[in-house]
Amino acid sequence: MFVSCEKNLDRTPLDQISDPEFWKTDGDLELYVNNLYGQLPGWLTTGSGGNPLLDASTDVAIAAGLFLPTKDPMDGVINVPATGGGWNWANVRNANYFLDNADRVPAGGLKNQYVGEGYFFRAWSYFTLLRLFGDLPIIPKTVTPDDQDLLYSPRVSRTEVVNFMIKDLDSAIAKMKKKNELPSGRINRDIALAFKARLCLYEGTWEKYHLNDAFKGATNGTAFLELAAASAKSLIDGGSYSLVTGNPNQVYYELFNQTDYRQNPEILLFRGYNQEAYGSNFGNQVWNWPNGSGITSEMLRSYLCTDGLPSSVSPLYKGDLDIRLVVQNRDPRLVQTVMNPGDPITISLSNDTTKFVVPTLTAQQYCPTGYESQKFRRPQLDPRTGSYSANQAYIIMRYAEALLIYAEARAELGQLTQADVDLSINRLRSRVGMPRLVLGSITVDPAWPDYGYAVSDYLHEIRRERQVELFSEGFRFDDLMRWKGEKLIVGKRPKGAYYTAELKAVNAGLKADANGYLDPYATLLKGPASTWGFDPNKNYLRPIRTNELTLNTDLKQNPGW
Amino acid sequence: MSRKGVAKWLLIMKMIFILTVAFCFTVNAEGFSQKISLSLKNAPIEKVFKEITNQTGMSFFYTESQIRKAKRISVQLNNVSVEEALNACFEDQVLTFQIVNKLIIVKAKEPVTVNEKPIEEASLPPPAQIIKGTITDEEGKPLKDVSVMVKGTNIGTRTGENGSFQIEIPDGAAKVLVVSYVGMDSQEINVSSNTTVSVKMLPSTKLQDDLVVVGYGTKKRENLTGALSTVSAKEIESRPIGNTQQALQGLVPNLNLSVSNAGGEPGAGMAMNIRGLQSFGGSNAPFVLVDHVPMDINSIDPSTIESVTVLKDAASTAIYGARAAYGVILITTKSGKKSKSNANVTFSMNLGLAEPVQFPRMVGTMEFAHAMNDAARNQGSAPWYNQDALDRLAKNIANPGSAPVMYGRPDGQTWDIGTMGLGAADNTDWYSILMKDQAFRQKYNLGISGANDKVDYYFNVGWYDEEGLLRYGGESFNRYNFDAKVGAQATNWARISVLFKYNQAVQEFPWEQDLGRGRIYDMITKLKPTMPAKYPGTDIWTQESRIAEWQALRDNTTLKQMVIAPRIIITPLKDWVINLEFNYTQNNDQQELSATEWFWMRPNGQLAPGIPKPNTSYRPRINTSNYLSPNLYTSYTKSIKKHDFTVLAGYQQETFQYFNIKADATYLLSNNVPAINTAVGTKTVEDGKGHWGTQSFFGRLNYAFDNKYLFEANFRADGSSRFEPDDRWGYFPSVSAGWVFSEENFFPLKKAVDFLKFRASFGQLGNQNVPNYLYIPTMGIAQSNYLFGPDRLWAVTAPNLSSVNLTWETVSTLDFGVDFRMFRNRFSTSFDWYESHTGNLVGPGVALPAVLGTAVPLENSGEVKTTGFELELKWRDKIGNVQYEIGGNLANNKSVVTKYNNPDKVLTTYYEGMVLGELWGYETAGLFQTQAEVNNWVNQSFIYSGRWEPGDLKYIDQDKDGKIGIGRNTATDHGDKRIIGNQLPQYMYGFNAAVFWKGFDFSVFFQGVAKQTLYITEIFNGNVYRGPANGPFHAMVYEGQLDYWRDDKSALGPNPNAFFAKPYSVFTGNNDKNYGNPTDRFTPSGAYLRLKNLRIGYTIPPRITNKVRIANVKAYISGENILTFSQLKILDPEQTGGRNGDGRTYPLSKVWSFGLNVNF
Repeated sequence: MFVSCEKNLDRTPLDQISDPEFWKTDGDLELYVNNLYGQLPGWLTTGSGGNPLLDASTDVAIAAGLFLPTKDPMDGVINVPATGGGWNWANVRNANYFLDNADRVPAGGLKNQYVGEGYFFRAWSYFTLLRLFGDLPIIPKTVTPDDQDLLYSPRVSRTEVVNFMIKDLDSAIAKMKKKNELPSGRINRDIALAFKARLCLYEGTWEKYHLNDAFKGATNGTAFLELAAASAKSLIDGGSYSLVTGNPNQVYYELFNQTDYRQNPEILLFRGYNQEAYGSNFGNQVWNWPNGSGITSEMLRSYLCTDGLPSSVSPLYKGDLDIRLVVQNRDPRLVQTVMNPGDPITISLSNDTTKFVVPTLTAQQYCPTGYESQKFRRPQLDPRTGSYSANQAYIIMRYAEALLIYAEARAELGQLTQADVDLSINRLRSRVGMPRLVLGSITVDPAWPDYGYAVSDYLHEIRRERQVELFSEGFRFDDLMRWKGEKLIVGKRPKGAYYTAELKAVNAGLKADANGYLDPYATLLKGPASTWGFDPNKNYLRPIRTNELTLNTDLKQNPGW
Repeated sequence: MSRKGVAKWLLIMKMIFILTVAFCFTVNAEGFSQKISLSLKNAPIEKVFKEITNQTGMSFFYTESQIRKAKRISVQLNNVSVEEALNACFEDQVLTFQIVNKLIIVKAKEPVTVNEKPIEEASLPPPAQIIKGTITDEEGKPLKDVSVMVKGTNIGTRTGENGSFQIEIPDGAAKVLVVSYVGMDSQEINVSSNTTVSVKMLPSTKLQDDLVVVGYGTKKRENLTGALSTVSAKEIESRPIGNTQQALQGLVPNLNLSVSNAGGEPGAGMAMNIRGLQSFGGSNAPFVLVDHVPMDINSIDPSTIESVTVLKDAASTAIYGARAAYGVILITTKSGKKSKSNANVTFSMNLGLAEPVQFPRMVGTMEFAHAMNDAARNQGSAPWYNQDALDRLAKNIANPGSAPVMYGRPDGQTWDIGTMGLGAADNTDWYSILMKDQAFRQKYNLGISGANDKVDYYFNVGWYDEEGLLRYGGESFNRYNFDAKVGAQATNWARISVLFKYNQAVQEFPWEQDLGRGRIYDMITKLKPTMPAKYPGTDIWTQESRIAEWQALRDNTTLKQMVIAPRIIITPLKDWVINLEFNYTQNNDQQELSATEWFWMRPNGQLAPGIPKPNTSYRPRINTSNYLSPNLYTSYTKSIKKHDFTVLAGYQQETFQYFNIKADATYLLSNNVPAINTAVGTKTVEDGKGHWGTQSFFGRLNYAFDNKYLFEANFRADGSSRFEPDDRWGYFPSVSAGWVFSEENFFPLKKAVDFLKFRASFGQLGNQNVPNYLYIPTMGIAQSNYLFGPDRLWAVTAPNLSSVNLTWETVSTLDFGVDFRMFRNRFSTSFDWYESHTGNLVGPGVALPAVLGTAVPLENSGEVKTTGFELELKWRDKIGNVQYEIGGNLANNKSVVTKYNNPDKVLTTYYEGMVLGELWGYETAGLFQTQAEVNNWVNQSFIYSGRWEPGDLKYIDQDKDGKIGIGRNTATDHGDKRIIGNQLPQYMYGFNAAVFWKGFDFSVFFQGVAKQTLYITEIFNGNVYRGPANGPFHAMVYEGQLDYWRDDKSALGPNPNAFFAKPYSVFTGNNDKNYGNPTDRFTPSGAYLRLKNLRIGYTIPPRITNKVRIANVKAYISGENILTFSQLKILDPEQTGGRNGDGRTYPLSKVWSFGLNVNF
């Protein structure tokens, strides 16, 4: 009965794997790296609740009701927090732990691919931090409490940080396989390439436009822009991906309302949802729409008319006093983006369709602007439930972005040729039947935004193309920041649709401006006369939390905080 | 009683009947012939008594003066009955004895040395004083056989039938008579000037045979040297409560019981600690042993408890070593005792009706709508109730049903009712729809016990049944207990016994797919009064009411526990006892979660599934565990003259293993048969396995000299599997000493003070209260959160930094105590002061920069000093026929961090000098009234960088730097933050009073906390207190919450001097201005005083009950949680916090009950 030795005290875990028992085969590498995919972006909520438009904190889209705090970054409603605040290094550690241990696994199998994924995710997690904080410490390995130098290391210039990330991405590109050589859903060489292009464009333009302010990097950005153009070109020429084509009046709409993009040539990376696999309601389902968000009137005005001219000058423009008029004679992407009377809200299993009549302007998840979006709005009810739409996928990266990166980088470098435009912008335009952009014959748009610095006509049009093509895919806020877009923010207040009699009949008593446009932010914003409270001296980057500065006195706070 | 209840009751009665019959036949309890052996030469009679007590467990009752007359004894007896032994010992004595139950009463022999006739041989009879007198009981009835002695002599007599006596005091003797009688207080009567006296005897205020259960043994209360408190069965019986924790709340100073996360839900346990928090994060839960078996305190039936001992200081708990660092609760259950009849049968029952103690009520529906509109306007949003909705609401309030309560959307698919009915126009009293007027509880116990020479037994069957408070929730808690204790004297040197306990508890609750059980009360707080309960024109509950959902989503949990504990007690030699105990506990818990289909109605009249068929599910969880602990310990007791020694040594080993299985299966084919086999969707299964073990050696030495000087030393060595091999063993010594000052001859206050003892103790304990395997880096396994193609793949996560070199927390406690009784034991008190140092505290290591990327590993990094005191007071007396008692207790403790690896003293973790529970926040200066006032105030953008407006809170710029800030957020540089209170309860107290009069008894018991700061506005937990200052989903407007700041634009009129700040209809954002941080304004006091129990009972006179062969019948009415005194608005002060946050947890119940205790 009594155990004389200490056997009773020797007890190891029975239901967990301990580190020494792991790292044996490339299968172990896969198991580990699978977990890193969790940091890829996806829907904010997947059950009940909602998902504000991905650009709903900018000039092109806004949120209200439940999601009102999404205005805060633009409104400068940000504090120096004591804790939290996004200064989170768990994902970096998870990638480092993998890269530090991967060599315990013998070479062979898919080892290189998985190691490449590890590099990809280290860069990915760094990008999240870079966008919030700019300069960062470089943490190249798993830190332990004994690594005092690393723990208390200072931030280095963002240029150095991005070079560190580019090195990781180059390793990833060298090690990873192509899409068709891999099981579905895995990061591949082209995705790393596209990410490198995205990163380099971001950093290149940031360093170019912030060259003389407190947020600057170590260079003027040219080298990054060159890398961005080269990476994008390499992807474009690679042949693994291409634009989806089809009916110009349908193709753009249909691109965003799918549950599965595995066979779609345009989508490089997406996050899928599967109600069965997760066992709950999943994927931005239809009853949550309009998800408390709406498109601004400024955004609607930026779509060209079908003659290729801006709405400010085109004779085809019918004005925006009615939702039915505003979409007429416009870039077909507009009518495929905004909800119009007659568009489907739900399509039942027996193909009964409930149709959109007027926007929901009051209720919990109401549309504040009167312009509801239909990107990622899937009306088809799920056959398994009959009452929910489910499994709407979230697009993370698509080929069209690479085209836009290429055009923008070449333009920023001053190297843009008509061939470049034809390879990029014009393929997007022709897909929806819009006229080509021809260098040298660009119509001046009096409504081109004033960035406060000189912008060439073609760069204006490339930025417009990006704004239109990538609307509500989560790029706009970053674009405003890297373009030093404060002139588009400070002193401005986003407006909604014209408050028509039709809207008043359904939703009386809403705030409208002097011109009769819905003015949901009339009293909400922090700046003078309720304009965006964005402070150009500090709001380009987030503050680092107080506790962190106390712990590591070598860490410097961001400018302005 | 429901039909189901009746059926259960019948079943129980049937079982009881069978058991009763079975045991009546087998038991034959007569006489007393336990065999003993004595071998003594010229021993004092006390020695004989002690010997017989040791061998038989019987106790002697005698007075010191009586046995001074006794001769020394020499006997040689082998294996004789107690009676034979006693006859031999008392043969030549002036004393005789009488056996009553297990008590041996020593009395003078009749005829004693009487003074009825002069002693003839005396040559010169000294002049003497003859005293005559009568002795009566407290009611004036004459008492026969009372011993009357002349103090300091062996002259004595006894009273006759009429209570009278006559005694002669010889010259030279003190003119003082000592009057004594069993069960009464002895009295000394000064007769210097009287020749006639009449004496009234009062029942003894001293507990008879007052043995206290201590670790691995018992001790006479008078000989205790540690800090401990006891509770007897009497103090906890006859209350309408289901668990032992509720029974103990407030009875023992510094045994702190507070409402747990589960709140007042049927079957809920409480959070418990002894002497406050002395550790970081850990549970600080005391170690609970029931009849030497570690158990959950709530799995036993409170009716079976005979006594509870709470061991508080290290000296008392040291013998339990590593499991006992935060105190020990020893529960002894009842066992078989000899009685005059064959068996002692007791039956008790209690029937109760419960309602919530406090449940916040909504304001009027129209006020609600206006308040919510104010919040929306403050936020700059469109009003929740437009004019149309307000008009319809007014009509429906005036004349229910006169206007549409809600509209469907044009597509006919959904209702336009905002969040939880915001914007709808009904006038619904959710409280009366959802809550029962009264919930029923019942409790029954049947006990049968007895003993004879060879065998003693105790059987108990108990059933407790509690309904929940929700009308449609189908909640219940049921517990069945079966307890058996059987012992047998196998040989004259070996006693064997077995303890068997089985309990089964069944809980039925609704649950929610995402948030599990207990979400209901959270959801109730969100229901708007304008939300209709049923769809217009139908009898279908609205989706928002959740009633249909509760009925479809069920959590049925069955907890089963079995304890088998065989014991052998061997007495190989006189004074040497070997105990071999084997404790085995098996837990077998099943939880069945099922989610079947339910429906709500669309505006077009179609039924829509609340859970789509593919999402219906069945999710069983099976948790099993085994605990096995052999204990071997032995003791040797020796008395040499006035020196008493006891030595104890032992070995203990514990092995704990658990194995859990958790399965999820979706898509049920049938709503009626939820099972894994009937599910056709995804099925997953997970397990959890683990184990730990300990090995321990322990020893104890007790030494007492002349019952005056007491000394005890303990030592324990513990090894635990939770630590690395090199850090595995811990050694824990303790010493304690006592001095019974009142026994000293030179004690100056002998007359006034009956007993005075000083105690001191010091000891060290360890704590293994950390998770298993911390020193081994383990990698988590989970399904990926990302779909690879259609599938989630398995994924392994990085290990956290492992905690190397982790070892025991050690708790060193110094305790000084005093026990004191006076006024003929009417008044008794006990006071302890203590200081404990918890060292090697397991806590998060030094705060490190976040680039570490993971949690800082746990380490033995901290030290906490706790000081505190406990005071117990009791007064018992009689006035005429009325007997009464008053008691009270008070305790406090304070813990300060004395060491922590936080050199910067960053305030987000522990730091040196931190008082545990301290709350950092801001001091405020009222609410802004005008925008000008806002503009002239200091810059508050640190709190909220958006706009500040009238109605928002003014923060005080403590450091006068023109802006609110937190400096470096350290204890030395904290900007405008201040410590604004302490969140831990302080000065906890309880007091009780009882009055007994002719079979009636009346008692009250109060319990309270004198000081506590509540932080209840925090966004995730404090929604309820903030009322309308919440997002639309969480907002409510309870009575008291209309006192918020309004300007004259509000339909409710201006309220500039409001208590609550301006509410904003948003979850966070603007409300952060006023509620995002702790402030002195919104951290109310949690102090309260609560009448926990009130009881009126009546015992039917035995002369009546005896006619129907019933020994005793007591009926009573008992009330629980009857009255509360508190300044806290809206919430129940005992119930802030909880699983879903403040005020969103199951309410406590106020219970009125009727009970009956019958002894056959």
